[in-house]
Amino acid sequence: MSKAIKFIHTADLHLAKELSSNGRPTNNLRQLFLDAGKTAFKNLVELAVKNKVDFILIAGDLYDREARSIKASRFFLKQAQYLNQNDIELFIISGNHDPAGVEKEVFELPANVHYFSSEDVELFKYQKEDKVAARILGQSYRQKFESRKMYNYYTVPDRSVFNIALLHTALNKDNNRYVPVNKSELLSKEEIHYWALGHLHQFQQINNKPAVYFPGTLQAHNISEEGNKGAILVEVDSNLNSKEKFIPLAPVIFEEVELDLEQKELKNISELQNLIADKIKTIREKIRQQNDGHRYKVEAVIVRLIIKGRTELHYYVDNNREELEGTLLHEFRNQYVKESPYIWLHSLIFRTAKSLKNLEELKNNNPLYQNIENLTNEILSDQKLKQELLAEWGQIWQGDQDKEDRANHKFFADKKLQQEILAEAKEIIMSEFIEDGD
Amino acid sequence: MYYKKLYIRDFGIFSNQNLNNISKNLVVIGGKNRAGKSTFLKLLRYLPYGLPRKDSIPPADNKYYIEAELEKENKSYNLFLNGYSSPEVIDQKQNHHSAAELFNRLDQLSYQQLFSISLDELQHLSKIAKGEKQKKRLFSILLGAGFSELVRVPELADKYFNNAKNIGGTLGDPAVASFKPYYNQIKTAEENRDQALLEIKEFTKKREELAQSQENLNLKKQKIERLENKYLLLDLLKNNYSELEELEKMELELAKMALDSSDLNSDNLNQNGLFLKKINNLLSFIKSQSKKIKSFQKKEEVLKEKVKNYQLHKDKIANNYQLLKAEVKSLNSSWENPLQQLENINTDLLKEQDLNKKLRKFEKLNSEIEGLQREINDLNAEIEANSSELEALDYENPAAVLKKSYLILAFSLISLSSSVFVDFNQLRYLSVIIALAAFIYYSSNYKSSSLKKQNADKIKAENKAKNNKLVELKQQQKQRLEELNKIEAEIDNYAQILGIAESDYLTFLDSYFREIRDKKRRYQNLQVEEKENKEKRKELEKSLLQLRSLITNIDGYCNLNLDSGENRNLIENFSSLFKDFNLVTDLFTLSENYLSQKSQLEHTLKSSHKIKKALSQKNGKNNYYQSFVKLYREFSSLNAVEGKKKSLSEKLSELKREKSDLEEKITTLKNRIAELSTSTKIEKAQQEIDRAQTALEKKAEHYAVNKSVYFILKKLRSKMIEKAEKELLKPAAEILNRISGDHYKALETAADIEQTDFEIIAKNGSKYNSVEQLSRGSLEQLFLAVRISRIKEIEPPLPIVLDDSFVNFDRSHLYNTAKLISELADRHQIFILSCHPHLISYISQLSDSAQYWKLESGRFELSNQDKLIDYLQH
Repeated sequence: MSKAIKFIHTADLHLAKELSSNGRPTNNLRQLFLDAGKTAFKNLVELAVKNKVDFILIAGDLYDREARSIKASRFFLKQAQYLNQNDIELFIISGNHDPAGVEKEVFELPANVHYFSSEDVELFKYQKEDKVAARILGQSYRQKFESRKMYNYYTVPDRSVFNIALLHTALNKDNNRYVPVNKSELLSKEEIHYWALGHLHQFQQINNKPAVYFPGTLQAHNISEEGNKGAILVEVDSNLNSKEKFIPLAPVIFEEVELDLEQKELKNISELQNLIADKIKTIREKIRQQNDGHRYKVEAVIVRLIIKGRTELHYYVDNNREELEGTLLHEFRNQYVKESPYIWLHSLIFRTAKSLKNLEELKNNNPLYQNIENLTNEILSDQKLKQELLAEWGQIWQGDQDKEDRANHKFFADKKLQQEILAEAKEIIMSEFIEDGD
Repeated sequence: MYYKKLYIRDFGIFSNQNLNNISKNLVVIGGKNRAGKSTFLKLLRYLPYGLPRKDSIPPADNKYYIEAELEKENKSYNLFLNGYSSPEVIDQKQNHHSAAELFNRLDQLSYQQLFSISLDELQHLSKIAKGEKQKKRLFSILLGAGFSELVRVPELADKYFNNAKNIGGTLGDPAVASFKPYYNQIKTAEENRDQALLEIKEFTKKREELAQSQENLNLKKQKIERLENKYLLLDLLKNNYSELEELEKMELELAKMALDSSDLNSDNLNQNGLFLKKINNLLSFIKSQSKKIKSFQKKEEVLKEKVKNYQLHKDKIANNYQLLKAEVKSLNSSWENPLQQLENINTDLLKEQDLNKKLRKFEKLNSEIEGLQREINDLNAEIEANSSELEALDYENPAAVLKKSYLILAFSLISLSSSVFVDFNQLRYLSVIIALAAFIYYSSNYKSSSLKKQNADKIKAENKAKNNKLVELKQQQKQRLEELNKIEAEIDNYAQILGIAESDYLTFLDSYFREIRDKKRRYQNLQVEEKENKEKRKELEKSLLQLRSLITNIDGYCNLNLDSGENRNLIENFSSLFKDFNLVTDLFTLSENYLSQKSQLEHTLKSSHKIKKALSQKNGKNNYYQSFVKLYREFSSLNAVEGKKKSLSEKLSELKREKSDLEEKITTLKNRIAELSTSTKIEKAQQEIDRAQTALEKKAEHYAVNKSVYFILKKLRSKMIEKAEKELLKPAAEILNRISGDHYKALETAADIEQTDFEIIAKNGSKYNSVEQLSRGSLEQLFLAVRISRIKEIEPPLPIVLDDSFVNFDRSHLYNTAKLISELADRHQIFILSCHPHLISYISQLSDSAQYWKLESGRFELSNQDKLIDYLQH
C-alpha cells in the first residue's frame, strides 16, 4: 500500500508572454490581458492550495524565450514562496523556451522548487509521512533544441510507488528538435505510471493507462490556441490508480468564429452589423453558461470573426475591405468591454465572394467550373501540387510549421488555412468567369 | 436528343411546313439553290436560343412561329418559338422547361459553331471571327468545354499576379511592397525585444555589480573610518604635541629623580616597566603625601618666620641679658656676677610697699618731728602772742562771721545744685551737711563773735590749753623720734639685703631698690621670655622634624641630593631643610603638573567616544593615554606629525571621493535595477510584433489568395490544354486522318495557345505550323474533324445540321466524310442539306437508314434517295 497523493500537471506557461489581442483594448481589458498569464497561474496555485495537492509538475516552458522578464521571475518567486508556505513542492523541467543551459533563474528560489538537471536524468523521491510516495523523473532542455532521447534513461527500480516522468516533447518521432519520440516508445517504459508531457499547447490525452497527457498551455497567447486552457489535477489512490481531471484555469480564451452570409440575403451593412452583434451575443451567452458554477471563470474571449459566403455585400467588402474591417472592429470592440465576460474582437476577416445567380447550376453544367473544383481539390490532396502552390505563395509563407520556430515575419498555412485561401481563390475565379460569361 | 416533328408556320421562305416523323439518325434534305436550305440551317441554329434581331435572319411573313417536338432521353418535349421571344418548352406533363436544358446548356456560340455547320464555319477562324477576342473564343470552342473562358486566363492570371505583386512582390518576400512597413515594424520590435531580453542578463549582472559595490563601499567606509580615526588622533596629537613634549620632559625629570644611576644605565629599563613603575611609585607616594606637602607649603613661610622670630627673640633675650648684666654691674660694681647676684636677691623679701611705707614713715616721722617742732615753736610763739593779745584783746567782728556763713551756705547750694548732675543723694547729703555746717558755723561763729568777749575769756583758757598742748606735742615728738629710730633700723636691714655697701643708702635706697627691683623684674621677664622661646623652639623643632621626615620619606622614592641630611639641629639648619623642602615642592609641583597635565590629556582622550574608539582601535587596549603616547613616540617631531596628517588627509579625501563615486554608482545601479525589474519593454515589443504580425498576416493571406488565383488559373489552363490535346485533338486527328485518306496523322495546338492555331503533322512527317499552310480543302477538313471530335464528347448528343459544307472536298475525301457522318448518325440526328447528288449517292451507298426529304421553294416533301438524286441532277 502506498500513500495516496494529489498533484497538478501543467506546462507551457510562457510567463510574461503577452496575449496577442491585436489592437489597443480599453484599460480594464488591457490589464486583464496583461495579467491573464499571471491570473491563470494564481488560479493554479489557489487550486493547488485548496485541493491540498502534494506537488505541482511543470513540464517545461515555464518562461517564454522571447518574453523573459525580471517581472516574470519575481512573480514566479512569489508564487513559489507562497506554495512553500503551504508545503507544496514544485518539480520543473526546462523546455525549449527556457533551456537550463542558457537561462538561469534570476532569483534564488525557495527550497520547495526542484529544477531537473539538463545534464542527466534526475530522480526525485517525493516523501509523504516519511515514506516515498512518488518518484519523479525528468531532465531539462540544455539548449533551444533537444535531440537527446532522455526518456531512454528514465529508469526506476519497480512499480511499487507512483512513478512520474516529465518530458518536454512534440511527441513526433521525426522531430529532432523537441525530443524525437512516439507514443509506443513512451509506453515501452512500463514502470512509468504517469507521463507528464509538455510542449503542445492543446490539452490531449495520449493514453489512458499508463496516463500520458499534454495539459496544454495554462493560458493561450494567440488566436491559434483556441478554447479553454488549464491544468490537470491528478489524484492517485493507495493502489496507485490515478484519476485525471482537466480544470480550466485561464481567464482569457481565444475563439475563431465563422459567420456565413450565404443565403442571408443581406441588403446593407447595418444588417451585417446586426448579424455580427447576434453572433457576439451568442458567444457571450455560451461563455456565461459555461462560467456558471465554475470558480475559475472565463472573463474575456478574444474572437477572430471570419465572415464568409457569397453575398451581395461583397461589393462593399471588395471596395473598402480595410476600411470596413476597421469600422466594424472599432464598433464591436467598444461594445462588449463593459460587462464580463468581455468579448474582444481580435480581428475580422472577410472571406466573402460575389453573390451569383444560378451558381450551382452553372457549376454543374459548365465543365470549366468542374475543372476548377477538381483542380482545387487536387491541389489540396496532391502533395506535389500543394508544394507548388505554397512555393507560389512566396517566402512570406515559408515559416516553420512549428510556431515555436517560426520567424515573426513569416507564416505557415495549415490545412485549414490552405483550404480557406483556395476556396476564396476559387470563388474569385468563378466570379471572374461567370461575370464575363454573361 | 432529336427533333421528332417540326412545324414551321412562318419563317422566311417557310410557311406552314410540317416535318413529321423525322428520323433520329441521318436526315438528308436535298434542294436546289434558293430552295431554303440555308434558311433551314438558320432556323435550327436559333431555335433553342430565340431569334436575334439581325438582318441575317430571313424575315417572317407576319410573325415568326415555329413548333417542334423533341425527344430527349425518352421524354418528349414541345418547343414553341413565337416572334423574337425566347423559346418555350413544355413537356408532356405541361411542365415548363428551358430550351438550354434540352441543349445541354451549351452556350449559343458553341452550339452554332459546333452543331450548325455551313461552309462558313469551316473557314479559318480569322475569317469568321469579328476581332481577336471572338477568334480566341471560337478557338476555345473548338478545343472544348470551358475554352471560351480559358482564353481569358492569361489576362486574369496577369491581373491577379499583379495584384499579388503589389501586395508582396513577385517572390512574396516579406521585406518588399506592402509587406515592407509591417516587416520593418516587426524587425524594429524584435530588436527592441532582443534588447529587452538582455535586460535579464543585465539585471543579474547589475545585481552582482551592486553587491560587489556595496561590499567595496563597506570596505571603503571602514578604511575611511580607520583613517579618520587616525587623522583625528593625529590632529589631537598635533594639538597636544607641546603638552606631550612637556609631559615627556617632566616624565624624564621625574625619571631622573626616581631612578638610580644604575637604573638609568639599565637596558631593560623600559622593557620591564621599571621606569614607569618607579615613576609611578614616586608619583603615587607624592600624591599620598600631597596633603602634608601642601600643608608644609602653606606653613613654610610661617615656619620660616617663626624660626627667624625664635632666633631673633633668642638673640634679643641674650642681648637683654647682657644689657641687664651691664646695668646691674653699673648699679653695683661690686658684684662679680651681677645677674647671679641679682638673682640671689630675694626681692620677695623686699616689700616695696613696706619699704616705701617705712621710707615714707621715716620721712613722715621726720617731717612730723619737724612739724611738731615747728608746732612747738609756733605754740610757743602763740602762747607769747596770746599772752600779748590777751593783753590787747581784739575781738573779731560778728559781721565777718555772717559773711563767712553765707559763703559756706552758697557753697552748699552749689553743691546741692550740682547734685543734679552727679551723685544726687551723696551730694545732697553733702550739701545738707555743708548747709548744716554753714548753719553751725554761723550759729557758733556768730555767736562767738558775738560772744567776743566771752572769747577773750576763752583766750586765756586757750593759752592754758596751748601750754598743755605744747607739753603734749613735745611728748609726741619724742614718741616720733623713737619710732624713727626703729624704722631707720628696719631700713638699714633693707639696704643690707640689697647688698648696698655704702652707708648713705638712704638717699638712694629708694631708687636703688627700684632699680634692683626693676632689673630683677627685667631679669625675671627675660627668664620667662627665654623659657617661652625655648617652648617655641621645641614646637618648631617638632614641625621641622616632621618636615624632614617627609623629605626623607620622599627621598626614599627618589634622589633629591638632600642638604639637610641627618642634621640634628634643625632650627639652625632650617634653611637647608627648606632648601630640601623646596626640592620636594619642586618635585611636588612637577608631579602635580605632570599629573594634572596628564590627567587633562587623559580627560581629553576620554572625553570623546570617537577618540577612545580611535585609540582602542590603534592599540586594542583600554589605556588610551599609553596608546596616545605610543602614537606620539612614532613621530620625531611636530613636523613629522603634520606631514603625516597632510598625507593622511590627502589619502582621506581621495578615499572619500572614491566612496562618493561608489555611492553614486550604487544609486545608479539601484535605479537601473528598479527600472529593469519593472520594465515593460518586452511587453511593448511583444505587442508591437503582435500588431504588425496580425496586419502582415492579413496581407500575406491576401497575397496568398491572389497568388492562388494566379496559380489555379495557370494550372487550369495547362491542364485544359493538356486535356484538349489528349481528349479532343487526338480523336480529331484520327478523324482528319480518315477524311484525308491517311494523309495527316497528328494535330496539336500551337506552341503558343494565344495564336489560336493548330499544328498539323502529315503522315510523311512534314509539319504545318499553321492551318494557313494547308489547302482550302484540307483546312475545311481539319475544322470539320475538330468539330466532329468536339461534338462527340458532348453528352447527351445533340442534333447536327450540315449545310453543303463539303463542296471543296475532292470525291474520295467527300466519300470518307460521308462515311464518317453516317457513322456519327448512329448517335446523332444529323441534318445534311445539299444540292449535290453525288453526296446523296455516297450516303445512300453508305447508310440504309437515312431519311430523304426534297426541299423545293420552301416546301418539304418526304422523298427517297433515287428520287432525290434524280431531282437534283436535273
